[in-house]
Amino acid sequence: MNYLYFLYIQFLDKYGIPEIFGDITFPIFPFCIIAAAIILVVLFLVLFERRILAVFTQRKGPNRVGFNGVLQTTADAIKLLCKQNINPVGVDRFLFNAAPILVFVPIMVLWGLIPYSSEFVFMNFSTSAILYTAIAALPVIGLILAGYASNNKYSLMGGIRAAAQIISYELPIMFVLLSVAALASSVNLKDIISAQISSVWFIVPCFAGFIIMFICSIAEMNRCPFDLPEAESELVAGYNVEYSGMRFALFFLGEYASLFVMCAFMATIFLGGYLPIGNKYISELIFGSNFQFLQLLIYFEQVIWLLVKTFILVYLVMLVRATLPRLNSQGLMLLSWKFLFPLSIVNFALIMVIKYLMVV
Amino acid sequence: MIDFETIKNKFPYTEYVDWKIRTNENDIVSLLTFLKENSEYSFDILTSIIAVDLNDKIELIYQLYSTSLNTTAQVSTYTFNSNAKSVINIYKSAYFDECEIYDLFGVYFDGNSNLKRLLMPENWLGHPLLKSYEMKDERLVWND
Amino acid sequence: MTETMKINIGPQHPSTHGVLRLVTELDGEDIVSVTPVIGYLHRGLEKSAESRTYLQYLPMVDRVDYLSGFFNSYAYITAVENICNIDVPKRAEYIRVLCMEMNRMTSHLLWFGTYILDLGATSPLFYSFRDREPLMSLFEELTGQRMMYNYFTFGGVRFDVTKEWLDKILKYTDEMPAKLDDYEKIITSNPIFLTRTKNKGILSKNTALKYSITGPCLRASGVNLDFRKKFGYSIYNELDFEPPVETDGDTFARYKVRIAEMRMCLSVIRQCVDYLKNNSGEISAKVNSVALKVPEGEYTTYVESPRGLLNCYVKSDGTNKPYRVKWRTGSFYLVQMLPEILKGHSMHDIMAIFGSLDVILPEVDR
Repeated sequence: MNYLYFLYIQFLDKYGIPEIFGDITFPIFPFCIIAAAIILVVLFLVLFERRILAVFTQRKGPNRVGFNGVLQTTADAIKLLCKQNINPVGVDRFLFNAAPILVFVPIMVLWGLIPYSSEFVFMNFSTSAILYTAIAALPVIGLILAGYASNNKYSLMGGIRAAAQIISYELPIMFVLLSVAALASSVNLKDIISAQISSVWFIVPCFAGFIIMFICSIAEMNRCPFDLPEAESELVAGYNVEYSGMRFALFFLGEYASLFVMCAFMATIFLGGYLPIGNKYISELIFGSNFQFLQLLIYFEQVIWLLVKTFILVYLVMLVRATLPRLNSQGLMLLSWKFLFPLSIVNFALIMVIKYLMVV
Repeated sequence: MIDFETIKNKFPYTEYVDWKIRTNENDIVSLLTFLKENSEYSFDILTSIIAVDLNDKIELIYQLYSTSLNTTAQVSTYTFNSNAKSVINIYKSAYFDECEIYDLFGVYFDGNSNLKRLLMPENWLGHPLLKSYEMKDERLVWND
Repeated sequence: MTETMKINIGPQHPSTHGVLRLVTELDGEDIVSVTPVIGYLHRGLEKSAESRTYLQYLPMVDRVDYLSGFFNSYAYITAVENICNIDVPKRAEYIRVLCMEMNRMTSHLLWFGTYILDLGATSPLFYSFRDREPLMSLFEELTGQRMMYNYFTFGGVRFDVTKEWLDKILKYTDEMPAKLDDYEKIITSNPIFLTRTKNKGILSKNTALKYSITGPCLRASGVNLDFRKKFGYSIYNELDFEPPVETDGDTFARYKVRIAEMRMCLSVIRQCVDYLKNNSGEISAKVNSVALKVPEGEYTTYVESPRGLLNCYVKSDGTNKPYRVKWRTGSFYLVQMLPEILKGHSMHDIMAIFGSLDVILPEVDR
């Protein structure tokens, strides 16, 4: 990022534009990169999921548009963009329009918090892990507003269910994050990754935490088996019943963008993020340690490592969707408050003991 | 086959025609109660109520089944003025049947306070399964 | 007590399996009352019969319940045959029972897929449709149709079965039990499935009898009432089968009864195929269906359809058109019972319970 910033300032300087202008306008670049990345990744994810589900149910899946169906989701996206935005009678126009944005923007911010490689972090705060969980809870406000503003009872119930779900599943995530932070002695995501270079990946000491995190993340993403807010067999489509066209596309985009970013976050704190297996970079092995562009190659390789780990997690999430039926709300609450929450506290206590022994 | 003599002794107005017990419209409730409560028969399921428009009268056929005897019985009655006694207090399942017959034949059931159009729209005119029903009634307007 | 909310589930709703409307009063997510509203699919099948000849009405009969057309045509045809005193050849009866049991299998398979879909799992739907497909192809091969067969005629069936066709069925019955095991592996012991179905929507024996519930739903409540066994109509008394019975009466019991019934269907199908392979004979009593002479009379058939007792009452006045046809279907009474069974449950359970009853709306509205 610093390198990019430096290039930009130099470029402006050549035309005599003051540096302050560069400071103000520079955030446009990461924004554009993230926006483009989200769209590309989501288009791929949707296709990936459809193909995975197809394999799981012995079908072929989308295989007509483009080569083997790779353009299917692009075509779907274009179709959604071209569709009419319907404003049903009796909706709260302002909130109705604002809700999809309120869902999508926090998820976009989350994308900026993930360290994709050791130099490729858009927003590197000293408390980025905490900030991550704080922002991850924000989209639910959009969901509630969408449910409320739609003037539809199904939507309202979907929104309320989403709120109840997020509240129950935030706490275990916080406790797991605390134990990870304790292991790394930091709440900065880059530092958490760096801490995993010297020791093992945190999935080893904190395996229970990983399982809790995995379940809770699925719940936060409102994905099957926790897709109660949009349970199509009960609530038709939950909070997005009344949405169409671009606004619906934003919800859709947000759903898959959050799927990716949650898995990236889990990969970061448990699977060493951009670290390669065994701390040996393949590009270093191939080109030798004296190669001129080695550092640049390593940055790219780190991104690929993170993507690989993330997609393994995404694949697991999709397998869960293909296998399980939906929970009911009682089961949802019981699972969270009676099982995951106590387990996360026990896990936290255990980690503290491990940490104490390590320090001593 | 059920023993008709006991029934005949208890309900003198009943006849046994073919394989069907026929009674008058006042006796239907007490006869069905007897057939259900009597431990010898215990016809515990009312499988359905069939209405047949016989032009001058409407025949109501109550089809019973006894799980213990494994036999069916048909109890029928005529109604001449489109009025009949409701049996929902004996067989709960009769409610939809009576609503359907009210809907399609226009028979009112005394004791069924919640009769409504079941299959036809609520603003429908006439009762379609009557033989006298005009198929092309100009007054029928949808979504009125 | 908080203020309640009225919500219309349906008529257009993804999981009402047709166009049923449930006017539901909710207190939060808990159900206060449910009022079913039906009639959206009323096609006047009973009225139509009165303006058609016996043969002209025959193709319409399959539409009473589109998922199990053979049962409807069987009920109607036997009623007419009994009024006319037509003796049906034994081979024809075996073919009819074979078709009906295969039809029951397709119906239950479809129920399985859609029911699990109602519970939110997508994959089993594709498995059950995959396994339903061979049967549909077999029907297509035999009758020319995949759903509205119009295959039974007065006095028998239209076409004889071939040996290759029977072999295909045998192959299917050999493969199917392993696939049913697969279904049970992925669903029956799944803890989420169990929490959603166990002790939900309990239908007690007395309530079931009071509401005239028949079929798998009654057998799940502990009443061993199967008209195939009890009346032994057609050639069922020559077959060896034992209808499954569960005592719990909850959603899970209904699920288990239907799964067990699928296995039973396979065994019945195998017995019919065995007979048809080893015996030959006429497939139709020579009856002039077009100018069918139906004497005055009335008859009610009792048929055990996949959704309970199917009655077809036919009254003839001696003309070439039925005087009155009345359909008594299992789903009609299941819908009536909904307010009773849904009382005290929450919004989630509506579809879990309603789906387990296997209601088909065209059959309700006729």
